Amino acid sequence: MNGTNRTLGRVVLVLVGLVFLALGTAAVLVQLLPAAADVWRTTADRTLGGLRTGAADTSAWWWALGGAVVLGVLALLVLGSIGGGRTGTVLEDDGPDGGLPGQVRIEAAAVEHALSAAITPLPQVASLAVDVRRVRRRTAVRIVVRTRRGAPPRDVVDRVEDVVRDLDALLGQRLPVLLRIVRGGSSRPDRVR
Amino acid sequence: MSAAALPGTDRIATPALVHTAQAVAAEALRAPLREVRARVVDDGRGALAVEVTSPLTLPALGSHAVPDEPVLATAHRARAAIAERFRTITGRKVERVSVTFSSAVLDVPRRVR
Amino acid sequence: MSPADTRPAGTGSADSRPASTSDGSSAAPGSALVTKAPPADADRFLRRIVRRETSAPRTPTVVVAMVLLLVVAAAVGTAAVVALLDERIAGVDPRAVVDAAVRVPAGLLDAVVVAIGAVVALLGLWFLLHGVLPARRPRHAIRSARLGVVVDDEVLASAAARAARSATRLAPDAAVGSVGRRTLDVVLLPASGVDVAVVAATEAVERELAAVDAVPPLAARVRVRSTGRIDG
Repeated sequence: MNGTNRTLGRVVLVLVGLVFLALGTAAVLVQLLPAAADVWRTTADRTLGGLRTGAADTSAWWWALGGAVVLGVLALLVLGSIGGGRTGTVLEDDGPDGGLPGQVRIEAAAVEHALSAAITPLPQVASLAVDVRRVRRRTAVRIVVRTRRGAPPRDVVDRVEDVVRDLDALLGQRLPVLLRIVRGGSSRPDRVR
Repeated sequence: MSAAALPGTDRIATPALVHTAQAVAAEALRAPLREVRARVVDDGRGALAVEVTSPLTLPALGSHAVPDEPVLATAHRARAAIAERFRTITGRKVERVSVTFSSAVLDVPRRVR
Repeated sequence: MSPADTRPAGTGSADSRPASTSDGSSAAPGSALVTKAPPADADRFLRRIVRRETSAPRTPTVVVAMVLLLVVAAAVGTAAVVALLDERIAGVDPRAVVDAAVRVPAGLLDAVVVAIGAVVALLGLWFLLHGVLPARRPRHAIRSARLGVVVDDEVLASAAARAARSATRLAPDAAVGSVGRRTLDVVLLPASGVDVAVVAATEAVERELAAVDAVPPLAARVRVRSTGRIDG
C-alpha cells in the first residue's frame, strides 16, 4: 500500500509497449519484404533526411537532441512517481480560534503503538505489523495480521473493527484502515508469553 | 504565591523551566513523567513558548472503554492547563503551548482516594 | 465554540510537501471539527485501496520500460551531440548510421535485423500485455462496514479445512482446502473404512464462507477422497 500512481504505470506500459511492438515488427517487415522496404525508403528520406551526411541544415539533429532530452525527462518523472511512504504525522490541529496559540499533533507512532497494543493480545493473532502510510495524498493505516493456522478470518475482522471504532472515537475522525490477513502462522499450538 | 508580587528580578534558569514544564505537562496529560519531554523557547517576541512531546495516554482500544471526548479536545484543554500551571509556578507567562503525541501508553486509572 | 480547523497531515519522509488535507467525517459530540468530505468518499477510497491490494503491481515492469527508454534517450542524445559537433564516436559518424538506416535493407544481414526486430517487438508485446491484462493475486476481499480487508487465499483455505474437520472429527491433516477465484474446494482424506459425514462438513464450510462474506463470492465444494490409509 503506497502512493504509486498505478493508472499512470499502466498507461505508460501500454504506450511504450505499442511503440516497441510497432518498431520491432516494422524492422522485421522492412528487412524481409521488398514492398515494405520500398515504402520505408520513400518515407525515410523525407523524415530522416535532415540527419544524413551532407545535409545542409543541422536543425534536424537539434530536434533529435531535444526529443531525446524530453524522453529522458519523462522517463525520470515516471520513475519518480513510484512512491511509498510512511507518514510522520497523522493529525494536526490548531485548536479553537481565540484559544491559546499552539497546536496538537498526533504522530503516526502514537496510532501505531495504540493499535498494536490492542490487537497483538488477540488469541487469533500470531504476529502483527501496523504502519501509517500515505496513499494518493491521503493518510491511511495498514494493519498486517498473521493469523494462527485455521483461524477464521471473520473473528479477526470483527475484533479489529471494534478496535478501529474505538480509535475513531478517540481521534474524532475515521481514518481509512486496510486490514491484511496474511498466510503462515505459528505451528505451536500455544503461545508462550 | 506569585513571585511577581515581590519586588526585584526573578530569574529562573532554563533547566528549571524545562523541568517545570515537563512536570506540569506530565500531570496535565496524565502521562508518565519519564517519557515526557519539554522545550521552553523564547518565541522571538519576548514571550515564552512551550513545546511538549509526550506519549498519548489511552485506554485499551477495543474494550469500549474510550473516553467520551476525543483526544484533541482533551489535549487542547491540557494545553491551556499547562500554560496556567506554568505561570502559577514560575510566574512566567506562556504565549504558546504545542503538544506532540509521539507514542502511546496504556491509561492507568487513578486510585480512588 | 468556533469551529476548529483540523487537517490530517500526510508529510512524506523524503520531501517537504506541506501537510495535505484528507477527509473523514467526524461526529464526535462536544467538539466542533469541520467535516471535510462525506463518508461515501472515504468508502470509495477504501475500495480503491482494496482493489490495489488484490491486483499485482506493475511497478517492476514499468521500471524496466523506463530504464530502456532512458538508454534510448541517452543514445540518441549522444548521437545528436556528436553529430552537431561534426565529430565521431569510435570512428562512427552518426550521419553515416542514418544513411545506412535509410538504405535498408541493402547491406545488412537479414538475420541480425530480424533478431533485433523480433526482440524489440516481443518486449513491446510484454509491456503491452502487462499494461492491459488484469493481473490478480491469490487474495480475496472481505466485506466489512468499517475497514478494507484483504485476505490471502491460503488463510481462507485453512479456515475452511478446519471448519470441515471440526464437523467430522478427522485428523489434523485430513482436510485440505484450495481456493480459486470463485470456488473453494475442500478435500477430505479419511482413513480406510471411516465414514465421513460429508453433509455436516459441507454445511460447516458453507457456514464459514457465509461468515467470511468474500468478494468475489466463494462457493463451497466438499468432497471425499479415499486415501487407502489405515491410520489417520
